[in-house]
Amino acid sequence: MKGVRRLPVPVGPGTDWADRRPDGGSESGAAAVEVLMAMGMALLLTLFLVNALLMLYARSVLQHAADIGARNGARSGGTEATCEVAATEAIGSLAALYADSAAVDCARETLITSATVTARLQPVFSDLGPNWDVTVRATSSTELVP
Amino acid sequence: MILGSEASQTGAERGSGAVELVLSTAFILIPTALLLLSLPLMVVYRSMGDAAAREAVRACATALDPSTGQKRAERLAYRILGERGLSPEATTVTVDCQAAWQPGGVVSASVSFRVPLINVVGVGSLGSVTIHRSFRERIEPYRSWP
Repeated sequence: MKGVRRLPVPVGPGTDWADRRPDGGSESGAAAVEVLMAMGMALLLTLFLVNALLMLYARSVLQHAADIGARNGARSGGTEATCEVAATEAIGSLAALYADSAAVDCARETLITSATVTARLQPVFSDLGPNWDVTVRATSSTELVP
Repeated sequence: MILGSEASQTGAERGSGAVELVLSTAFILIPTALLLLSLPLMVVYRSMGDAAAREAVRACATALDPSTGQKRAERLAYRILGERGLSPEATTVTVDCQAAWQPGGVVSASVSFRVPLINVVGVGSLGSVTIHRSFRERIEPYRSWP
């Protein structure tokens, strides 16, 4: 190997890897951009899902509150006021976020007692979805007194 | 020649990452999200059946006589299912109020109805499944009888 002179490896400006590409374009960093876009999209979708699931949960809580209210109002000695208090307490303890926007209306009749809960459900991430106006009803059999 | 071939291949793949992203979002992420959103609806359907069966059996257990209790229970179950969006034609309510209607007796009610297996709000539904719920209640052994 005597007499063979090794050329120095070119380093510095003008020796970009892009210059070695036949079409002159560069894909360096493209994977990172793709990953970022894909993750952004997945994250956005996850937030949509969380929003929707939380709103479904809140709707279930309202339904549960209406059930509890109707059952309390239907008991022997129950009144419309006890129905409304029970439903409001249920909303306050399980979905306090919507306690202010929820309205409970109870009606105790001879045979049935019904509770209606209306609320405007706002998404947790407010920019990712519209509000949802929910009305749920529950009916219970009024306890008869012989 | 090799360089030229590579160049044309690279040029043809330009933008493929964006296309892959759009396709994976359209055919994988969004259907998965919609499928996930349809799962909680099964819980909602089950709680509908629970509420109808529970209130029906309570109407029977608190009635002053078994035949009135039977009628009230059936009517109430259909009413509860109706106010939660199920048509009476799609539901079957069975109340056993007559046989065990005595102090300490156990009365029962069962409710079954068909609902979509996958139900995406605003898009459509796929398949169907029968939800069957039942409830039993002991009649108060020390209640005052008419």
